[in-house]
This record gives sequence, structure tokens and C-alpha cells, in this order.
Amino acid sequence: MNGLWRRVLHDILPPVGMFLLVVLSWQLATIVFRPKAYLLPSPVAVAEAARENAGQLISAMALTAAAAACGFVASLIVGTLIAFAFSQSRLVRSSCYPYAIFLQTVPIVAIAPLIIIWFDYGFQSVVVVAFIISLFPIIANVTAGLISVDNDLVDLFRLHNASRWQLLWKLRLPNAVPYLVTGAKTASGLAVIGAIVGEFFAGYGAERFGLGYLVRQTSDQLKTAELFAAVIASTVLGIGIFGAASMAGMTILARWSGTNE
Amino acid sequence: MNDAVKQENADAANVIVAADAVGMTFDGAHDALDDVSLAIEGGEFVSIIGPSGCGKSTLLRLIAGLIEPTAGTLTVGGLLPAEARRAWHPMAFVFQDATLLPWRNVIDNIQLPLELEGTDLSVSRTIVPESLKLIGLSDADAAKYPRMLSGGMRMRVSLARALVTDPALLMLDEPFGALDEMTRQRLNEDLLRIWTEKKWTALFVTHNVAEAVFLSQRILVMGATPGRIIADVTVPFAYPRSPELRADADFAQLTGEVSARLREASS
Repeated sequence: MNGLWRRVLHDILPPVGMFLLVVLSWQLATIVFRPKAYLLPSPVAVAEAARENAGQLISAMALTAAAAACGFVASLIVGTLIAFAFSQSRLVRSSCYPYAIFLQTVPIVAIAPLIIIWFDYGFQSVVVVAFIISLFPIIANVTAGLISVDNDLVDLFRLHNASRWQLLWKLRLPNAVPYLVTGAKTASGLAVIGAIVGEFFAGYGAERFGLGYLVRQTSDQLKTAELFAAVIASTVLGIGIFGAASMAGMTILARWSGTNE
Repeated sequence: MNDAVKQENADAANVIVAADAVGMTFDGAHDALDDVSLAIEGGEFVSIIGPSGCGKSTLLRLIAGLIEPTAGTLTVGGLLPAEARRAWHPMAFVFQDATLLPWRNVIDNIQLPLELEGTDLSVSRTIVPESLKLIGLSDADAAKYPRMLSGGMRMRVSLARALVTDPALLMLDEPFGALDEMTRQRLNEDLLRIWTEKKWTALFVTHNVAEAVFLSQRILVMGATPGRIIADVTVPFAYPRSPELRADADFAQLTGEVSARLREASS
């Protein structure tokens, strides 16, 4: 009980207090300076807008979450396979790795139109953008995990005449698990960003849309309170998916190193 | 498993490791080892001591067949080390770090060499607990993960892993260097107890003179640049050796002599 209070006092109270302070100052500022509603709506107005459009926001969040999750899972699978290929040969690694970095550095905004040309407007293009943007952290981390194995352990395996297969299955793959978890956490956040950016360009249409479309639509129409609501919903979604990935990662790591035994 | 080989060794004056003018150069640079010749008999406990950079670890890795010499010939049981390693399963290696797999518990770590060598699971089930007991670990420790263990305990698990294959040749590369003195002494005593029981050949690399004298029948003193053997000291004390031996005057004298040799080597 004591520990719980201490936690509340040290970890939960400060950020909540900060949040209240910012919202309160914001509200006060709108009362004192009276900015035009399309420039800066008050928090109350934003909350109102969120409440009025709750159904729309939730369905948009669900659609964005689905696209982000599909892109994320695809990059987990494809990224791990690419990392596996990289780990098998130095030649493959040195000839392909620089182009993998391309994934990291290319401005997604610049290639989004290309993706739409190839995959057409709709869900699939959004998934592709989420996939591309979240692929690199998986490749980079899993490759590192497969390669950076203690040399003494490699010697131990050789000493007992381990096959290449055993070296991979019993040493390199388990060694890569914590790296995969780290990469997956980063990738999960990026997948949400990717999905929203994708929707911004490849948004679906008036009857079925995600958060990115909503952001664009409300900003085009200068519905700033609704825009704020959509942005906050995007943030909540990002935090939610990152949190879920982190918790899954912690569970996997705990099993991996026997912490929960 | 090693009976045929042991018999063969008996014919060849029981020499298990034979090195003749072995040299080792890395990348054509300085000589890690130069003109090293030695003969180690089956069942001997030999320590290798020397200043850092004298190639003592290199020598162990050569004997284990993990690297190949650039000059001379080296045989283990009459075969090239890498061949010997494949023909029978005689070798085990203990590293300076415990090098346990963090994702495996104690019992699964100990079982690893048996898995790699394709030992029958039913056989593993009986010998892994024996190895655990031999090294002084309890059944309660068996399910623990490496991160829950102290440094000394981890090293015990590492030893148990090395001994589980019932090796003919056990190589130890400064295994207790990172441990505190009490733990080191206790592990030395346990190691000797097991050795007197099992009689594998032990090659023990260390930079601790007292440890070398306490454990071994012979101490090879090495010098650096180039790495070479400069003295072969016989340790006359009978086994079993008790911890009190460390307080003995003869022990102190021999330790002093070996230290003096080591100083020559380092200067």
C-alpha cells in the first residue's frame, strides 16, 4: 500500500498535474485573449467537438489502428526475414544494407504519391506506407541481434561440433529476441505515424475513413476544434499501440530470461 | 566412448597433447607463439602461466582446434585437434566468463553440449543431474536463470556444463580470474576433488601463481613477444591436497620460485 502511494506520488501525480496545468492555462488564455475559434479553440470546445463526433472518431481510430497493425505485423515478418538473410552472409549484408537505410531516410511524404499510383487509393496503400516506415528498425535491430553473439559462445558451439543450423537455432535466434523487442517497440510507434500519413494522402472517402483523412478534412474546412480532437485521438492511438507493444515485449523478455519463474 | 583413444594414447607413452615447434602469427604481424613444444600426458593437471599477451589463451585455442597453427605440428590423441574434436568428443572448454545462455535455466545450460553432440535425451536426463550434483549445485538451483546467480555460482554452472560430456581433456582459460579470493579458493578445491575422482587431463591457464601451484602437477611458465615456454616446473605435493597446503612453507617457497620465473618472463 505504501509502495502504491509512493508510486502515485512520484510517477503518476506529476504528469497528471502538468496536464491539468497546461489545459487550465490554455483555457484561461482563450478566455483572456479571445483568439478566433479557427486559430485556437478552447479545451472545452475541443472536448465538446470530441464528444459530438465520438462515433466518427472511434471508427476512424479503429480503421487507422487496423492499418497500423497490418503494416506493423508485415514489417515484423518481412524485417525478420531480411535480417535473417543479412546475418547469413557478409556479402549480402554489405551489398544490401545501404539500401535498407534508404527506408529510414526517404521522406515518406515524397513517396506516398508513388505508392498510391501503384496500389491505388484505399486501405492497402495505407498499410504499405505503415509497413515501409516501420520496416527499418526491425531489420537493423534483428540483424544486430543475430550477428552480435559472444565470440566465446560461438567457440563453445564449434567445440561441440555444432551444425550451422544449431548455431542459428540455439544461439543466434534466441540472442536476437531482446533486439527484436526493442525494434518492435520503435516500429509500433512508427507504424501508427505511417498509417496516419498514408491516410492523409490515400484517405478513403466520405463514408469510410481513418484519422489521417479526418485530420486533413477538418483542417481543409478550418474546423479547428475537430482537428484538435482528431490530433488528440491520433496521439492516444499511438500511445496505446506503443504501450501494447511495450507490454508484449516485457512479457516476452520476462519469459526469455526467466524473470517470471 | 573414449576407451579406444585412451588405449591408443597408452601405447604412445600416454601422451594426449603433443606440440612440436608450434608457431602462431596473426595477420603476419608479431609472433603470438614461437617454437612451442610440449607433451601433456593423459590425466595430468598442467597449469599455464605467463604475463598478458604471452599467447597462453592462443595456445589453448590451438589445442582446442578453434584456430590452426601457422608453423609446427600439434596433435591431440594423435590427430589434428579439429579432427580429434570430430572423431571423439574429448574436449571441453571453460572460458573466463561463465558464458551461459541467459535464456536457458541452469539445467538447460548444462545440457547444451549434449544437445549439440546429439546425445540421447534419456541419457541426458541421467547425466545432467549428476553433473549438477558433482559441482555442488542443488536441485533448487536447477530451475534458476543465470541472472539470478552470483558470479561464483555461474562459474559452477559453467564447470558443470564442461564436465557433462565426461571430457578427456578439459581446458580452462582463466576461469576464476573475475571471482573474489574466497570463492576462487573454494572452486579450486572443488575442481581438484572432481579431478582426483574423474582424472581428465586438465590444462589450466591462469595468472595467479598460488592457484597454479595449488592445483597442478606441472606449471608451464610462458614469456611474451614472442610467446614461448620458458620454464616447466614440477609441483611435488601429493594429492589429495587440503586447503591447509596454502599455508605450508614448501608451498610458499615454490610459489616464490614460480613468481621469480614469471618476473624474468615479464622483464
